[in-house]
Amino acid sequence: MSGDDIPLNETAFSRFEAQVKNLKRAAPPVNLSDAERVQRAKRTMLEKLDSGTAMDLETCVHCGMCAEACHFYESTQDPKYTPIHKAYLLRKVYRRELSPLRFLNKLFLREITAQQLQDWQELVFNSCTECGRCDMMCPMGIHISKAIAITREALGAAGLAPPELRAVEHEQSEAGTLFGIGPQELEAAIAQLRSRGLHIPIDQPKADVMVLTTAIDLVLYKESFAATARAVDSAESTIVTLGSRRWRTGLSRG
Amino acid sequence: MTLLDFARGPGFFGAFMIMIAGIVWRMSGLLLFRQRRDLSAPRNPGPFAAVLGGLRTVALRSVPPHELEKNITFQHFTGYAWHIGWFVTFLFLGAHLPFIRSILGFSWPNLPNGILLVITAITLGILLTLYVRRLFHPVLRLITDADDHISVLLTIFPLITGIAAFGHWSPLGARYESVLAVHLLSVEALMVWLPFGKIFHFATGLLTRFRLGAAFIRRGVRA
Repeated sequence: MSGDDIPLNETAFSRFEAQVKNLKRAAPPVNLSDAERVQRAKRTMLEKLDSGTAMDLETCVHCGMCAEACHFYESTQDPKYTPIHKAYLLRKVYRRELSPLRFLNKLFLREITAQQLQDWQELVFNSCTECGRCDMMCPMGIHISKAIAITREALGAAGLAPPELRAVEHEQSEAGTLFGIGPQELEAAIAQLRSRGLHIPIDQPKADVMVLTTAIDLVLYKESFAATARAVDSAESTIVTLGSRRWRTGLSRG
Repeated sequence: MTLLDFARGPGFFGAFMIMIAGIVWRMSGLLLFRQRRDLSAPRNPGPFAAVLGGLRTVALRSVPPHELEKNITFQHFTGYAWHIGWFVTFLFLGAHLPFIRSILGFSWPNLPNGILLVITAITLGILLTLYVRRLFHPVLRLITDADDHISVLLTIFPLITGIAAFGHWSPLGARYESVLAVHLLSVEALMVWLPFGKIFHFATGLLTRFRLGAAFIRRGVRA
């Protein structure tokens, strides 16, 4: 660190740490019956499925090679982390409700249950980084990470995203802040950096690249925020801009 | 009408019709289902970028990326080997060619029976090994369903009944004609199952590869 670096704010760190610890409890309660959870999850799955994903789900030959591409399987050897298994509920709903063979499939496949949705929370949120290595491995070229992403959305609609995520989402949609950090803190951070001679224009029209910053950078690691501004500003023919409203903000390059 | 007459006549015709109707039904259902446009700006905006990216993945996905191949070498090679062995036996056994000629109106030279017997035995050996592996491997056990059992067994039966017919074996004192009829029926069972189970990947596998390649090249990444 050079002598010009912005000192770390110990108080802000302590406050942030307390917030993170409290995150789980800050999640809004979900008042959905099991039937409603299943219904919402299914509705999202059926809305998000398209011809490409449908064909993917029909084409899996259950070879299991995708497991060998998954970090979570590789490091634990636990079969539940097999990527295509993470998309099992989506495949089941698809086969029962949308497949050209649904009339036959319905005879053999049971409905998904709320308990299954609950069980899949760990698999699709905690045990998948959407890295796409399984997509690279699959001999059929199945877009497995996309199927897992749809499953995530379905669980989210059923109120089954992890509580920490729900807490952050709730705060963002209700208050427009993240960890209590909003437009005022953004303005303060920009003012501080401008006072150090950095060029940070706001709300520039026709900027075509958004470089997003994080709440953590604005409060805890301002030096990182400054470095981002310097990097984008130093590029040739660059307009740097930050949006001032809520979190539709960023550094842009035009 | 003997069992052989049935297997050669109405049995084959019925199986063929179910196969074709099933393929058309399932495939058109998949292709006519909602298409969704990718609204993002493509990283590779050239007019043929998506097509070329798709074709590239169709071709290259036959070999796994080298970073990952060490994990699946056995399955990769045995998988290709039994597919090739199965089709070589089907297409080049001397006893099959008159049958193929009667349907297509033409045929091609056969391979010597001795060579084909070895190929068939290796193919059967691999299929049985992979099936046993499926029954015991933790990952495969988890993701295996009834379709897998039916598809694998229906792929294996024609090989076993074919070897019995080829060797003029008489299990349970059956006549040669009956053994041959059972062989034909085992193939017809496979034809009937073809549009309903995972063997359908023969029709969709290259399309899914193509779509993945096209989608990834749009993002500007390798597939």
